[in-house]
Amino acid sequence: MIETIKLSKYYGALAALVDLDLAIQAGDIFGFIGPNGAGKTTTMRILATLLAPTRGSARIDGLDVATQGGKVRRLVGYMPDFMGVYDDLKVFEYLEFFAAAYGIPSFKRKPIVEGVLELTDLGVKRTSLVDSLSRGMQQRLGLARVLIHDPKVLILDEPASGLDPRARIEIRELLRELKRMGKTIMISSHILSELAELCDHFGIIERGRLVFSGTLAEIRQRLGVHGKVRVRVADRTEEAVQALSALPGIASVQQVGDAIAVTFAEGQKADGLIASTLVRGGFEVVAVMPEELKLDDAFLTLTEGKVQ
Amino acid sequence: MPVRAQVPAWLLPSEWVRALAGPILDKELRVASRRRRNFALRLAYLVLLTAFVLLVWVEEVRYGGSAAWRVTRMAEAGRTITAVIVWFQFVTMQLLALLVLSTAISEEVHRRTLGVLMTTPVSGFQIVVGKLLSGLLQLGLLLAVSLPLLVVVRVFGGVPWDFVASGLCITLTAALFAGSLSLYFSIGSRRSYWVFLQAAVTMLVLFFVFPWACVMLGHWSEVEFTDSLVGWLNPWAAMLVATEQMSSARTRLAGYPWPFHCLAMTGASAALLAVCVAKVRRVALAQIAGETPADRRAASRAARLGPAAPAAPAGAIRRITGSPVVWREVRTSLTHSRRRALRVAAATLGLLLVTYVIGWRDLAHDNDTHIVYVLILTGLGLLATSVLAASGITAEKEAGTWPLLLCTTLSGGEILLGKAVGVFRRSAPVWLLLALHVVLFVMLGCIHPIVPFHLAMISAGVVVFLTGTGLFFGTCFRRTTVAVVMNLGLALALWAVLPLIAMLVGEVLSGSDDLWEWPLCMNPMAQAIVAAEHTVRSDNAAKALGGLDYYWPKPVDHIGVGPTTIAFLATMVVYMFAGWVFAVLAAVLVRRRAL
Repeated sequence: MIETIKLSKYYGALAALVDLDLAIQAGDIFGFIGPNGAGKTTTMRILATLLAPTRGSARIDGLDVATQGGKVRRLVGYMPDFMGVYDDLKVFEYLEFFAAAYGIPSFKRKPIVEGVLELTDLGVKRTSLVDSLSRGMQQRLGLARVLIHDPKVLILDEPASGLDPRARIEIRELLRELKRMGKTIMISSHILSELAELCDHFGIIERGRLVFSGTLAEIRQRLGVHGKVRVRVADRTEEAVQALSALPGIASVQQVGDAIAVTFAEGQKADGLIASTLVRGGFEVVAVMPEELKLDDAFLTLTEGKVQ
Repeated sequence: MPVRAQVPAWLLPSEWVRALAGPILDKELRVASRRRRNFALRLAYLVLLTAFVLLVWVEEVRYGGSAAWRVTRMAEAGRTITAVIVWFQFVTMQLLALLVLSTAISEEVHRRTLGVLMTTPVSGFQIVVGKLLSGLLQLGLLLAVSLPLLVVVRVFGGVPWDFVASGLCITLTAALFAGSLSLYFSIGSRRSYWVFLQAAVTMLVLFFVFPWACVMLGHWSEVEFTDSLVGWLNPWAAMLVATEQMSSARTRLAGYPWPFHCLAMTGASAALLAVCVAKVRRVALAQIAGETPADRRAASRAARLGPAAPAAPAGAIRRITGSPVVWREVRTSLTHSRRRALRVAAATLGLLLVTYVIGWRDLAHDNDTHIVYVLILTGLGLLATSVLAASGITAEKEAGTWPLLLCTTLSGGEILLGKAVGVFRRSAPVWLLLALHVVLFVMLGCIHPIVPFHLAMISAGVVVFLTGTGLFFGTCFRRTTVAVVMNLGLALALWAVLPLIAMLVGEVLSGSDDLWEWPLCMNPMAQAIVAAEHTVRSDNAAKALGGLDYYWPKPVDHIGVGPTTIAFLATMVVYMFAGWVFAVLAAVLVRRRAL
């Protein structure tokens, strides 16, 4: 659905984006991650036809964003990181304004606006002035706006920034609903734990270059991170460490405080064996907890924290 | 041990300034040194000043004659050049003070840094004084640029020191007042052009309309304006008197109390700044408390109607018809509320009516009075069109709504057309004042019926032109202030600087000052004078069309109503075409310069 080939953007000598190759499948939620100034917003602006690339190409549903901007705009709903609002308009008027701007005929606008108001749970605010809405409500209004012309692709730049936990959860649920509706979503956020729960694929960008693209499992594979288990026994921890070290398929066993960190060798997974070995050895097992690779850790490992 | 270290801190002027303005002045000066527009401003100021001085020099000393004659001419030139420099400084300093301080507080409010500042030991007084002083220091630099020239002219030209001193003091205090006024309005509005307009109109009323009314009353009661308190408090009158004092030896003017005037202006500025300090504190506290404009409206309503007042009615939702951009532009008002719009309209019409009542005798019998009305109202129309056209797009850029609009399927042309309609609609009330004045006096038999048509042609041409250029600059720049300054600068360059340059070139090349009259033929203000000069007053108004005479600048000279109408039409077409070209350029650039 979204494809970029050697996409580059230069501001004078500054390379904001260098040879970016991305491919996002239809119906996916793609998490775009990177430090501040890495080139996320530049990529999104190019895809939203707001910026022209210096080199390379970007296509959405087969349409070139540089040469077929008008058609691309029909397919895309873009929500910028800083979203301005027409503060003298009411919520309904604001949405109808954009419905008209997307060329939706006047007789269709009312049901469409009512529909997106219901979807974003803003129906009760339809006659409120936009500037009287809370930050969370304004973000939801922003989402309602990008949905008004029923685009196939949503490009959302930091949609949850500055929101309280409840508003963030609401936005996340809304995005899940949109995925169920078949939308392709490209989303950037600094709250990586939320992206991990939401996204199918991730792209990690740093200093204008894509350092990784794929699923969380592929990140794990790329980093050579194997399965880890944290084990707790009631007593005799040192003896338990020795017992586990003798097991096949175990790369390392370390005592960390009152727990034992067990790392499996590549391709091995033996949680059950660990538990049964410890029980057979007469240890009182308190917990065996598998440890997943967190997106935050992957991000920190893959990026150097450098900005342009 | 350095001498500075031995001096008590309270004796050092820098410590005084630090105590007054706190760290705000330091910060402002640091930021000002990084702003390219400040350097551009200084360059433009120097270029303009040099052009003016050269013009006067060439005009005054080009004649030959004996050595004694030339010495006399030199002395005369010295006085004229001094007067030109002082007047140039006087006018530009006031305009620049309005401009430089038009975003002084609003930037802090908009960036939400005002509340943060108030959580530090920095006081509201220091914020206001820091902002004011930093702005005035920029202007002081410009003043300092021309001081050496003034000194040289003083030495060789025989200009009295007290004129130079009084001129500088009057200029400084007028700039201080203008800056304070702009700073005051900048607390309430984010839009710098709106602040500029509010402050400019206030000064226009204070220093022109009000004194004019007083002059009219004085005319009846035989009281000299410059001898009155109103005259003493008026910087324009003060400067006029000082200039006359220098160029003539009329003893009646010798006692004009310019130090009193400067003290009064400083006092008025101080009072205004005190109000600013209180207001800044209120706004900052509201920002700290997270109060939104909607909250403020609700609080104001509760204060008006009592705490038990019901919530404001939600009001009907207006459905969109036609182009959404046109719909929005037409719906957005300049005054943001109907009540305020009615108040502004009533005040403006009331003011106009008062001037009619006071100046009735002149309006009925004197054509110059109508020319003044036509010029002032045309000038206001040009100013409003120029500012509104340049700010339409940049206001959206500053509010962050511009990318949202560009992401829609609307074409650049559709967006710009909507914006252009918005400019016409919002500037219409100002042009309507001109129409109202002319039509009223046509009906009263004081203005010839052809005048409204001619003025409509002049206005239509320049409105389209300024709208096109304004949209173009709005597309090119991100900041409203820059776009507005560029659009006003273009108008100023075409209609004020170009004739001056033509005059300079004409003087240098052929010793003739006719060349400058060529660009005047295309100047809307000059055309307005041509249209009204011999068509007002009851005797002219009653003439048949064939009996009307129009006195154009020299290249065209004396022609009848037919050729004059053709000339107005041709000018209108030229301006409209130029405006259309600029609008097309803007449409091409609108997506290329989206961000």
